Amino acid sequence: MEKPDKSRADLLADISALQEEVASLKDAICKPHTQSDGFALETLVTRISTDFINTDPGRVDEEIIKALELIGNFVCVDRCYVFMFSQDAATMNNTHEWCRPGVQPQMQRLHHLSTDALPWFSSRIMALKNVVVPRVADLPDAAQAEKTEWQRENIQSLICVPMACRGKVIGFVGFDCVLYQNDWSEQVITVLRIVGDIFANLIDRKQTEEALRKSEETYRTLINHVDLGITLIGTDHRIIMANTAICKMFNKKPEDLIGKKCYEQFEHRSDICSHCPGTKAMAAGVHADVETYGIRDDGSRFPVKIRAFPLFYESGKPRGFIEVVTDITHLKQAERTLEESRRMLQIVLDNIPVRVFWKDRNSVFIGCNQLLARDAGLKSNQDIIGKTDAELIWKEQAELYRADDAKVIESGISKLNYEEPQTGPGGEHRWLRTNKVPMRNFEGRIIGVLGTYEDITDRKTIEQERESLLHALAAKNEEMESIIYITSHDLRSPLVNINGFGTELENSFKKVREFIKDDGMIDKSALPELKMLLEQDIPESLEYIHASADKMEVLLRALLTLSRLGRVELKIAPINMSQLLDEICRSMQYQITESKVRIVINELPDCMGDKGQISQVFTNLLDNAIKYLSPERKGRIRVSGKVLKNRCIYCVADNGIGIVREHQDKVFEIFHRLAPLGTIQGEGIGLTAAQRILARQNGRIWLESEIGKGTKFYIELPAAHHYSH
Amino acid sequence: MNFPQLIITVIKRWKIRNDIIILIAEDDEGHFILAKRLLRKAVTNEIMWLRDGQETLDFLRMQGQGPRRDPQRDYLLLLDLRMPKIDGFEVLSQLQKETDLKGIPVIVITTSDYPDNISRCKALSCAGYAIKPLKPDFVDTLEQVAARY
Repeated sequence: MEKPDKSRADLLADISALQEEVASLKDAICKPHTQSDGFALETLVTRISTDFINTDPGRVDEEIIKALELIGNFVCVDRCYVFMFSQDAATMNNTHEWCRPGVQPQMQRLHHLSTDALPWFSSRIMALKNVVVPRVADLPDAAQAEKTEWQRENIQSLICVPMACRGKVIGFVGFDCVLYQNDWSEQVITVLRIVGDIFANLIDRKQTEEALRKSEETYRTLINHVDLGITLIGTDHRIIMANTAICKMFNKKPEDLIGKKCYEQFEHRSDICSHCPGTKAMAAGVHADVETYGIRDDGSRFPVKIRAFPLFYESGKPRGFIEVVTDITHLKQAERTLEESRRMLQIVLDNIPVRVFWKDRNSVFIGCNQLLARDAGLKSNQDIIGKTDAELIWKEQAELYRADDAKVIESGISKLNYEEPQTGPGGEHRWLRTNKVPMRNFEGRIIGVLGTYEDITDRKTIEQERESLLHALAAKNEEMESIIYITSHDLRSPLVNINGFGTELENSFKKVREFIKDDGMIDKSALPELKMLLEQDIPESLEYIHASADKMEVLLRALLTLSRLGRVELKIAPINMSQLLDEICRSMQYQITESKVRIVINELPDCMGDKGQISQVFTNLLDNAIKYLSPERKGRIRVSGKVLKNRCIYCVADNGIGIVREHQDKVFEIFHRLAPLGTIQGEGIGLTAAQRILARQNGRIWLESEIGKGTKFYIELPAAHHYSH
Repeated sequence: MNFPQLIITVIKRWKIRNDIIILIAEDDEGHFILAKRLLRKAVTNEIMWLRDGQETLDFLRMQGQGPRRDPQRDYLLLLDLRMPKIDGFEVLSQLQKETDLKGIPVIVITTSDYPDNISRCKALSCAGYAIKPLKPDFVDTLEQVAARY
């Protein structure tokens, strides 16, 4: 129930009073503080910085916002904010904001703005200059972008101060006025600048601490995840840090180790280890290595390798060392196993009765076993390393070996089970049975050749002996067979006669009986025939039968003689040949005179042999020479002899009828005669016997002859001792 | 050349032409006498003795010191294999090489029945082969060979 009891004048007065109040309120709210408020400003700043010094880095953001509020209220601005530049200063980010209630917050929108979008502004901030804008509308043309942006945000007036840390601009703090324009006073600018610095510092500190924390975490993770034991030990040998691995190695927890003496914990010693690598490292200034044993609490030991790195203060004084500890149990075991197997291999190599060697692609020896070293005349199998075949005692075969190596290496195909020669340590010739295979590395590439061989010299010698024995046996058999063959044929011949003439005899007697009649009378007409039968045919038959039987007797006797030649015991002694020939000639005197042959005997060297048999040989030869004289000329026989390399060579030369080439080999055949039966006497075993005799006495016989000119027979025998030179 | 497989028992003994001269090349006198006697009982042909391979060839080739072949006459040769100097095989092969001699039929007579020898002689174109001592049926062989003349 309003009654207009106040007058119009009263109303007007109320209105103006209200206006004044509003104006003063406005002043009070919006007017910047004057000089008298300087003290209050300082107090504010002091308070902010004190607060911040003690701030826990985790609460930095909170505190910044609180500070922004304090300042905002104090300086009567509508919005306070902090912006951070990116690392490359290409973008800026609104990180903290305080708005007076009723003022539109902008932070959500102002993320990752490009600094190039506000070039005028950014360049000033970057140059560590304050940006003071009392009236946005009055911004110069150069700041067109800024003007546009700020007017959009309804900012009438603003001030931004750079935040710098260690000379680098990391962002800025800004204060906006939305409601009115503000002529920012110097005091205010200064205060804001200081605040900016404080923020900068704080943020920097926060960032640094963050980075440090991250770095620490990375290292911690690393240290605790590696397989190596890592421990940080101080100069007093107390453990400062022990990673997971080392704790595991020693079956302890970190808290068991930290603060304790390292020599106690790791090696159960009461004093610093004499081999302590940490001590060495700190003394020398470089890392030190040692191999020792770690001892666990349960008494178990394990081998370790330790590398200690010294750490120094900036002054150069040592402040401790880091030990990197590796459990080398497995390594040591592997080493032991390797050594075992290496030794085993060497034992095998040195004990098998086979030579083993290996060479590289250039046929240079890289190893061998003891046996081969011995073959090569080397003291140890190490001495062969680096040598080639050409430098060893079998250099004669070097080319051959090298060629074989090359073939195996090129082709990748093994050469197995083949024979090759080798010169032995005494220069003797040896035979080997060898195998060569290509050696490949893990990738399958051929890196050289591996060879083995057996010495088969003895076996080969035996084989060769066997060969020659077999040959000799075969030859002997052949000789036997041919003797049997020839003999059986030669015996057949007289048998044919005996058989044939026996039948003739039979027939003759049949006829004689036919002629005798039953009464015992003979027909006169039959007499001539009967006469012939009795006086010619029958005697002739009988004669042939007897002659043939005699012939067989002779043949068989000769055969017996020949066979005895092999069995009779030889009496080898020096023979005075001149004397022997004289004796022979004397015993053949009759034949010599009869045939009117002239025999000349030169001076003859003595030989070694069985006198009786050698005598037979020369008798046979002289006999033959006399038998086969030529009717065309006077017979001459010459016996000569000489010594050659401890052998005596005699020659019985005649100028007889000679022997045609085709027969020269056959003369030594048993029973062979050059003339038909009946013309020249002889069973034809003379030369066969001679050959036999000489073969048994390590001699030989051969001939040279020309038909119509004459024949030379040569006899070779070992010289008597006193001739050998 | 046909080697006679069947011996035909023949009563007729005068089949062979009696103008053929029979040569016996044989080094053993006894063997020669036996052969001659055997033949004498059956044929009247002239029989000549050649004492070894050399003499045989000289005779047939009409050279040398001794008797020589008459080109107008026909011959039949009984040849021993084992003779000194030049043996029967050698004689056979030489005969084959000479055109006017290879027509002469040769019967090899020898102590050996060794198959290799037989086939060797066959290869050298011998007309027949007989084993010593010669039996009466040898004459049949002789007649057969001569008949082909």
